[in-house]
Amino acid sequence: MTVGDLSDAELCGLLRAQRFTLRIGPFLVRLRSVMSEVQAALALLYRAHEIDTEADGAHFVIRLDHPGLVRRFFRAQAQLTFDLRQPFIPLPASMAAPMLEAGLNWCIGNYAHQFLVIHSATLERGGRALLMPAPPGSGKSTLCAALVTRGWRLLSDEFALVDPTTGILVPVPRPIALKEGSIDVIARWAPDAVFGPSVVNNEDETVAYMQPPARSVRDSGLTCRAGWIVVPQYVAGADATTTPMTRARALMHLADNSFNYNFHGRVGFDRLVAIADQAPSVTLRYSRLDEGVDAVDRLAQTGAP
Amino acid sequence: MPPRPPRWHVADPSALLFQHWPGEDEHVVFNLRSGDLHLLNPAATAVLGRLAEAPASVDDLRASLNQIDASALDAVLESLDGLGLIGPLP
Amino acid sequence: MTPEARDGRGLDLLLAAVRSPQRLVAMSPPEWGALIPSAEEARLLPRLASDAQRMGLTSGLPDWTRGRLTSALVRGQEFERAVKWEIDRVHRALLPAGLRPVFLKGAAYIAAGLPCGVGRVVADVDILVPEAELPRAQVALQQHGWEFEPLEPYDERYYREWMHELPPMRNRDRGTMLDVHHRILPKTGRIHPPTERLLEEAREVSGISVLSPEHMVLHAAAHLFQDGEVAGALRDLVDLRDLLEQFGQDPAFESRLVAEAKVLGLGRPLFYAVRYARLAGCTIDFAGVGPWKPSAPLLAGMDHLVEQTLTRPDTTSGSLGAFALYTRSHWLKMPVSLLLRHVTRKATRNFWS
Repeated sequence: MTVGDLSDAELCGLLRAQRFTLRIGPFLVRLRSVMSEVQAALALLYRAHEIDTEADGAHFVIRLDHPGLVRRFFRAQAQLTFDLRQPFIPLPASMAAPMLEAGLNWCIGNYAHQFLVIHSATLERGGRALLMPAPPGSGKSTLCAALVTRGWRLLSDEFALVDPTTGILVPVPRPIALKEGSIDVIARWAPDAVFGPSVVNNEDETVAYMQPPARSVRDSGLTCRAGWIVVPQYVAGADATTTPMTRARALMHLADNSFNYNFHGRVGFDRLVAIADQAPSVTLRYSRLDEGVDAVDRLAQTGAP
Repeated sequence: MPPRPPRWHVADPSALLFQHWPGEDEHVVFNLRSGDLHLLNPAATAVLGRLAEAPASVDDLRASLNQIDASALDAVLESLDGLGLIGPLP
Repeated sequence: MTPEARDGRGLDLLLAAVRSPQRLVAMSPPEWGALIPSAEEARLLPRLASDAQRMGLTSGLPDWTRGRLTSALVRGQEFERAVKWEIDRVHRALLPAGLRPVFLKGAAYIAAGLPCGVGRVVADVDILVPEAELPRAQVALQQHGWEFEPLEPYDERYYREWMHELPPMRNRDRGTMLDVHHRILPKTGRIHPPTERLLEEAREVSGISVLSPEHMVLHAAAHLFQDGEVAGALRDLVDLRDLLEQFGQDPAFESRLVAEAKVLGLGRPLFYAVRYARLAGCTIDFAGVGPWKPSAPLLAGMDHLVEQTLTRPDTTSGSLGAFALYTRSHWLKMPVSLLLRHVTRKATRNFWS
């Protein structure tokens, strides 16, 4: 059963009773909320995700509610509780969706060390994964959103999860976060794409989430190995050019974008070496989205190992 | 400035994992004890590799790695020490 | 179930698991669901995860439980590596300057391979040096990348002029905290155990100097029960339980412990430590502390205080350091300003912890 199979009343009831448990890739996430903004975000952005009605627990138990009675009605706010912690200060209720996504990033970034976690957009085509390891602000989410609407399967716009024992990549598909101009760019690029409402965040930026393709969510049990590494560099006005990277530099880049490979000692290092070894790496300078997408597509056709 | 130590060593060579791809200039070394990953140029690779085999004084290193000039060697030693890859032998 | 109710139940389960790890064997999924957040909050999850692994439990658990425990185990391994490396770096700075610091608390437990070092969540490293060596230690540490945290003038004076202590130091490269002590209890307290005695009895274990077993116990007891208050959390009591259980295997330990308590003037804190370690499941009885038993009203008061403090959620620290929070906020696409909780460490709170 998916979120989309629930009626509004059913979804609302499950959320209030803390019996709403979502499967997001390898994780079970139990959510509790009385907020209509949360219900709406889940109904739209997690429409294709499975809910587990038999779950006897969850990896992450998250509550997203008003911090108090006053802040329910007057300048309504949202506060996120994970386990017994409240990692963020309260935010305006309109920011419930970004708060939930940031909360999930927090959980995966800090409480999922059973995986090697690399900050990377991760996509799949032809059974091999494309990794785009890069810090926030590099344009990887925009490129990622464009690619998934052109036939690439989404594993994640944020994380590459590597199983330390096998080295395989585990999908964790979630809504794709877009900011400012990228929202319009992708809306024009993919007129059929479904977006949540645009919200202005604490730093005066407009953010919106794109619903992940249903097929990507449905196939979130299909794992794969790394095939290519592309480090995107958005440079205004630049023609799309790809420049090969040495494997040593690719290894450094993967490590720079992973907070926890070194928690796994020798095994973590070996896994990153294997990825750098298996997947040829390039940097991609681009400005126009169609050129960026074409460059990645060409790479996948010619450079496949 | 503390006096230059007489000999340098790698405290635990088994904690250094080296990685190199044929045809590439740079070596990568992972220090299990510090959890840090380092990209090394040829000079640093040579010095670290030598010290991982056995302790050596600066003079020993100058003699056996004569492709590296003296001031570069000093800089490499200071750098490797700062990163915790080598240390002075008491 | 509300988070508060889960918390209460979770704490009960945590206390039970702490008293007897065997309790983990029969734990149901809903019980794990309550236990995990409470254990995490009490900085005991990596330790419990290690217990579960040792007892061969993990393969039979639900996937989500196994996932959280494995994650905690990995984190515990990383804390161990980080502390051992920190010890190495402190030695790199101080040994060539002719200084040999004695490591205290978590760093000592981990380096010495003690049970309370397993899966330990460590926020910073504490060392003890003779007062006369403080200036040289400071200089050597500064030469190797340690800096004083910026402090309000009031706090600066508090440390240097009133307490005659070095303020906490942070390493520029790793962001790790180091506290350099020359006495183990505050100058303003009533008891002043002589540092010379502690240093005399210090010994080498696995290449580092640590306090003697008796002094380790007394140091931990002095901190948890200083000045008739309870200054700590459940984790601190577990430490005492582990230390007493471990060292108490030696039949000669009790008499040495009692003798040192007399010398250092720490008999009363030791009495409390022994009494409440029993609460935490210590199976060894140290009858020798009997003479330090307080009056009935005082004892009842302390019983109550301990029950209140140690069975409540641990609010003394977050398990992610300020530095880690700062760097991670960037990745979360949330500005640092939003990560209010525990971002700044109150220097005075953590000074004697």
